[in-house]
Amino acid sequence: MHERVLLIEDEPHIVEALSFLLTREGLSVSTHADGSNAAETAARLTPDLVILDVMLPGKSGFDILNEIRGTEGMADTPVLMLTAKGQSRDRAAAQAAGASMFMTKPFSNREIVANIKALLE
Amino acid sequence: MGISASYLNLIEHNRRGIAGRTLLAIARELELQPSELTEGADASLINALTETAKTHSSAQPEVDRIEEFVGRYPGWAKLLSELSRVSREQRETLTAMTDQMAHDPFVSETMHQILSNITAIRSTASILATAGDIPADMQARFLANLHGDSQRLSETAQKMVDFFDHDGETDPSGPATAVAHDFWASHDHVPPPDAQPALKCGPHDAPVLHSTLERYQSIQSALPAEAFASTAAKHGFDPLTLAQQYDTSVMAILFRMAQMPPDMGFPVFGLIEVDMSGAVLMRKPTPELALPLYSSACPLWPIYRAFAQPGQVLRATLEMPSGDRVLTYALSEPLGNGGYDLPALLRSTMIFSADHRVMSQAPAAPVLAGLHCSVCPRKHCDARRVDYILA
Repeated sequence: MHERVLLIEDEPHIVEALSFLLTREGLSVSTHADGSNAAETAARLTPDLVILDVMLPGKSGFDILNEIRGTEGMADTPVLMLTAKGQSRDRAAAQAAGASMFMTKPFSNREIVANIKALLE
Repeated sequence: MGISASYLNLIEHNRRGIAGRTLLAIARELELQPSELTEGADASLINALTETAKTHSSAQPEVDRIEEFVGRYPGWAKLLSELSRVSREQRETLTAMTDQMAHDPFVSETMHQILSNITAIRSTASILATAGDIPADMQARFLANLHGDSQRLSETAQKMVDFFDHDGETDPSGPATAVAHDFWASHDHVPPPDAQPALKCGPHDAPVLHSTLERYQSIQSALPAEAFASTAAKHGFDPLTLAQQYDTSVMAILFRMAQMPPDMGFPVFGLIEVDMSGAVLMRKPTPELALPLYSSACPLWPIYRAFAQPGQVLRATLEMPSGDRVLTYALSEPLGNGGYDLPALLRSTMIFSADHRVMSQAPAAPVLAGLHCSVCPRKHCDARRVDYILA
């Protein structure tokens, strides 16, 4: 059974590249591009791991993470947060909201795949 | 006079400066004005150099010989003091510009777009370079994505260059206002009561800062923070009711609500104040609502509509493209007494909060607004004046 990853990211070309990479690694990838109902999608799919962008249209990644952590059965789901800012306050906010890992854009393919595998172990 | 002959000899040969009681005693003895004796050994110059020496203590300047230095080489001393002043002002300007870089919504949004583009390009290029057996249709798709992303990156970078390229022109109101903004931000928007005397000289001499400090000091005595906090909570943080309760102006209440000490549990209110040209006079952003540093906010904000109804408090809920909502109170008032046949000068103030205790008073139908057009993704907006940079 493939492990399931939910990628919540609004930049379509990043979505395509990451989906391609992760599918090749044997993962099943679902995607969601809008912040407004991302937590509902996560609750419906109950993925094994969530990749979550911080800046999304409709709702911030931090708010979505809070909602995911409040969803039954998802309190311990690994969440990898992505941001294009990389400021220390974003990192602190991600940790406070319960992110499992935090990566800043631009990242290398090798690095993100390694981190995702580590979170799924 | 209480000084030794050898010390007097040093003074006579400009190797020691004189000030204070010694200066007065010598002046009295010689029947001269003290100012006639201090020429060339300016006490303020000595003070300035002492400050400079403290700031750059790593150079181990001979602090105990500053008076001698000023006495023997007054020209070099003035030059050093002047260079130190220029250096300090440039540091402050740099700090203000850094603040603009960090908080300007356009810069922040553009940087986000540039980094997202770079991420997509890097990731896609890496796949094309390292993954050997990519199906032809995927390969073509990735190449098209690379082309599109590189084009967008180039356009966004050009917009960024245009944003900073002012052909060497500077806004004379900019640095002074930035100093005021920096002051308010560094004091958590609540100035210490004794701040004003310390800010009456030097680069802090910004009219905007003094005007707001004076207003703060007047409301601080009329509306003490602790009593105000409990009264405001009792009346649902409603500015009109509070103005009636305290028999004061609504503007004073708005200002007080946005300038409460941060440790009192009072709802956090942001504040923005603009003149009739739209220039930002004062700003206190909150996490829910960023504010422009100088101008160019969203024209749908009630702070601008308030100019059409001076003296009328406007209440509106603003919904940002992110979905964040804030309740706003806006009010414009005339400045000074004006003059015959002159246009009225108005200043408009808007406070806002996303606190649930405040939002309970919010009108249900929000105004769908943004920060300013270049970072607002709303389509079909009649108020739009420039394109959304990510469109």
